[in-house]
Amino acid sequence: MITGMVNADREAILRLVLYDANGQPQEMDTIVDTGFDGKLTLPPDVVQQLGLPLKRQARAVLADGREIVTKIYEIKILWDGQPRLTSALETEATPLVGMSLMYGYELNLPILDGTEFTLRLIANLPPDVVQQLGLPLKRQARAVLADGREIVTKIYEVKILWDGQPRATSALETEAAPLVGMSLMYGYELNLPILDGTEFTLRLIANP
Amino acid sequence: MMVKQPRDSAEEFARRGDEVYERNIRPQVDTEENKGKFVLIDIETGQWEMDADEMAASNRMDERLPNAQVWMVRVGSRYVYRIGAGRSRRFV
Repeated sequence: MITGMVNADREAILRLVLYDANGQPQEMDTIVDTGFDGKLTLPPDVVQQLGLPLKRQARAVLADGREIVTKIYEIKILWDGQPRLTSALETEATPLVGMSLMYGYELNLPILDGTEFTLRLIANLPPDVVQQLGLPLKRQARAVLADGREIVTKIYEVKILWDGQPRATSALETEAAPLVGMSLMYGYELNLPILDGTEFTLRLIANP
Repeated sequence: MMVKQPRDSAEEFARRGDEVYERNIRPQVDTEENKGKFVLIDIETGQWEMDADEMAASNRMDERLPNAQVWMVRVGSRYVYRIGAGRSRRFV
């Protein structure tokens, strides 16, 4: 869990640890900004001081509709106790933490002077996988394993291609290899010759 | 660590990047399935990488072209980032 503080200027301040190009840590106050859909912004003097490598440039649109071309640097930060490689836009503003850095977290933000706020991980997949697939966590449930043990598992909504058609379904998060179960195959006939190198088929027999 | 410096001004860099994207890349990638994906383009060679994960595309680009001059766009959008909620994003 990550904690921050709302200050008297009604800014949600998150103190981040940033690493410079030589790996030296440095603390920096940032503002949580849900109107920023990127990861992090840093002012030019900080970018220069940290010696960050320039990676690319891209267009950004500001709140008043103006467009700017902004430089994007690679940076290592400490996030929820773990080092994370991420990217920072160079802007003249106060450092901002945006929605893409906080992705997969729940922001609990009581808006009063001097209150503490929290960011809590809600999705347990590696952040890059969650971000890549963008799967929303829908619910949790109990499952029983073959040896009788019970586990509580997170269930995500996922769209798959099934029999040539897109289908919205759900996926349990488990440490195992991905499995296809009976409920996904419902309404199909499984024809499975059990020999090395044989092809098997699933053929629609009823509309689920 | 070597720090890349852009050879062109920001606007010239953007103009060149947009030109390569519009001419060579967009006709190949602008599909419903790719909406919102990041496209990283080396404006010198025209080589590019596309991924839903910005860092994954960046890492692949680094492996291919360590000194690339990279312009980044998102499929279906004029801009990559929104700073301040002035305009809701809509991929077209």
